[in-house]
Amino acid sequence: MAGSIKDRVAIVGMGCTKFGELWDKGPGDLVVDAVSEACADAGIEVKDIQAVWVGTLFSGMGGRSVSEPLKLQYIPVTRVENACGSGHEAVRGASYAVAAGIHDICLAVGFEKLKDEGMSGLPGMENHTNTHYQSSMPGVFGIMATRYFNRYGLSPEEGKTMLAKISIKSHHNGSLNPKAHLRRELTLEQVLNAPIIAWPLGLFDCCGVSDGAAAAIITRADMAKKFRPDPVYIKALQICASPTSGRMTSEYDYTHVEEAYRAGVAAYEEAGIKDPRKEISMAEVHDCFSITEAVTMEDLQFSPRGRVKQDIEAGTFHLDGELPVQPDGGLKCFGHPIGASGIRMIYELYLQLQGRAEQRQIKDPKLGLAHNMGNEPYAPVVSVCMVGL
Amino acid sequence: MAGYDEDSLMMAVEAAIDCLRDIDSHTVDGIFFATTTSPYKEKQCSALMALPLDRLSAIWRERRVLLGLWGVKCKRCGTPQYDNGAMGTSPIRVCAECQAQDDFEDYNFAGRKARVFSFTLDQLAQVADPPASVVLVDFEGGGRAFFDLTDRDPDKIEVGTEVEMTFRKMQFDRGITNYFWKARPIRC
Repeated sequence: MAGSIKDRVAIVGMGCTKFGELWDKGPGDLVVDAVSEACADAGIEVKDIQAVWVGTLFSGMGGRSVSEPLKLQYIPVTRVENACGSGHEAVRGASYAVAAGIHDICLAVGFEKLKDEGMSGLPGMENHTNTHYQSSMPGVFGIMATRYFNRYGLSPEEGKTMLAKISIKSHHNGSLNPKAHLRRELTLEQVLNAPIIAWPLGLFDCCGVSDGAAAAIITRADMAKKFRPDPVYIKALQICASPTSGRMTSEYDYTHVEEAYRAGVAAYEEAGIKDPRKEISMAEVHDCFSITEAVTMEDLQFSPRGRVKQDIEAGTFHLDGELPVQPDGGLKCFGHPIGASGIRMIYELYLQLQGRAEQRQIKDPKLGLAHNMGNEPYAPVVSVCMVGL
Repeated sequence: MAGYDEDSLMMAVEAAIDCLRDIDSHTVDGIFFATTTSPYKEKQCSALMALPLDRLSAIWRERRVLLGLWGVKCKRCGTPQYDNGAMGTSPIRVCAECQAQDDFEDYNFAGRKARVFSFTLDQLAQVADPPASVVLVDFEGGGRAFFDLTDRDPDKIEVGTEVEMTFRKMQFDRGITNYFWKARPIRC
C-alpha cells in the first residue's frame, strides 16, 4: 500500500441514537438526533461541518438524505453504499477527504429505518431474477454453521452450545447498555430451546432488526485537541470486496471468510500491528449471526483456525476477558440498521477509549477494532476500521 | 405421482434428457410435446421463458443458463463453473479460478451427479414446502452451486448426500410459472 491513514485524522465527537423499534422517528429524525449529539460532543455547531459522507442501504437516496433533515446550507454531501460496510465507507470517505487536506471538519453519518418495512428480516433481498434457490440470510449462515460443525467434528449439541455462549455473552453486555435494542440476559436453556430459524441457527443465534443512526465528526489530527482533550485517532480503514468465487468452485471451505481475513491483514499492516490478539484491546465485529462471530474470531487471528470454541469457553471475549468482543452488545442486541452499524461500533470503541462506557467500561483500552461484513459468507464486502489513542 | 413442484412439462424434460443421454442435443432439429395436461395450453411460448414478476428481459438473456443449466469450462485452467448468482455475468465471462476473460467452452451440469457440501433447513424463506432445504453442492468433475433440494425428507439430509439435478417449477404468479433446476437425493 502506498500510504496509510494511521494517525492522520481524529474523531472528536460522536453520537448514536437508541436502537430499536422507533415508531415515532422517521429516517430524518434519526439523522438529526445522531448528528446533534455528535456536534455537541465535539463542541461544534452543525454549520461548522464542511462536508458529509452518509451511509445508508435502503433508507435514503443521495446527499439530500442528510442535507434535507438538517437543512445543511449548500455544502457537499455524498451518499455511499457498500452493503453492511456502508457506515465504515462513510467514515472512510470523510477521513480521506480530511487526510487529503480538502476539508478540516467532516461528518460521517450512517442510518437505517428498517421497521417501516412492516416485515421481518431485510427488505428487497430477493434474488434479482427471483428464480433460483430460496434461502434467507439466516439460511446462508446456517449453511456455514452446518459446515463448521461437520469440519471440526462437533455434534449439533456441541456446536449449538458453542454458538449459544456467544449470544449469552453479547446479551449480558447489551443488558448494561441503555442504547441497545435487546436488553435481557439469556440462559443456555433459553437459547438451546428457542425455535429454529434456519437449521442449526435458532432465534437467539440471529441479530435483531432495528432502526438507528450514528455519527462521527472527523478532523485533522493536528487540530483534534482544539476540540477535546481526548480525541480518538483512526489507525486503519480497509475494505475488501469478494470475487464471489466460493459459490462456484470447490476450493472454498465455507468455514471462514477469506475477505475478513484479508481485510484484517491489510488493517494490521496499516496500523502496524504484529500480534492482533495481544495488541488489540477490544473488538466490535459483525455478529449478524452467532456463527459469524465465531468464524470472525478466527479470520481476524484472535483465535487459531478451528479453535474458537476453546476461547469462547474460556471467556476470552467477555467484558472482563483477555480480548472483550461486542462490549456494547453487538448486532445481537443493537439489531442491524445497515448504514448505522459500522459507526455504532466505532461509537462504543470511542466511549471505551475515553473511559466513558460506564458499567461496560473495559480496563485501560488502547486500541479497538470494528468489523463489518455485508452479504453472504462466500460473497461479502468486509470493512475493518481500527481506532486508538 | 407428481410432486408439488412438478407438472407434465417436468416429466417431458426428464424423459427427453433420458432419451438424449448419448446424443448431442445440438443435432436435434425440433421437439414435439404431446400431453393432455399441458401447463400452458394457450401460451406455450411463455412457459419456456416465464418470469412471474418482472425483468423478463433478464430471464431471456439468461435463458440457457437458467433453463438449460448450461455453465462453462475455462479453456485456460479447465475449471467447470456454474453461476446462478445475482451480480455476476450470465453466462460467466471471467473465470472464478484463473480470471481469464471470455475464454470458455460450454459445459452442461444438468446430467451430472453432485454431493451436498453443506445445507440448511430454512424456516424463514417463503416457500411452498417448508423448510426451504437449500444445499450447496459440489458436482462430480468440478463446479459448485446452490440449489433447493426437492423430493427429500428434511431429517435425512446430510453433508455428503448424493444428489442429481431435476427440472422443476419454482414460483407461480399471475398465470405464469417460473422454472429452474433443483437437486434431489439419488433414489437408488
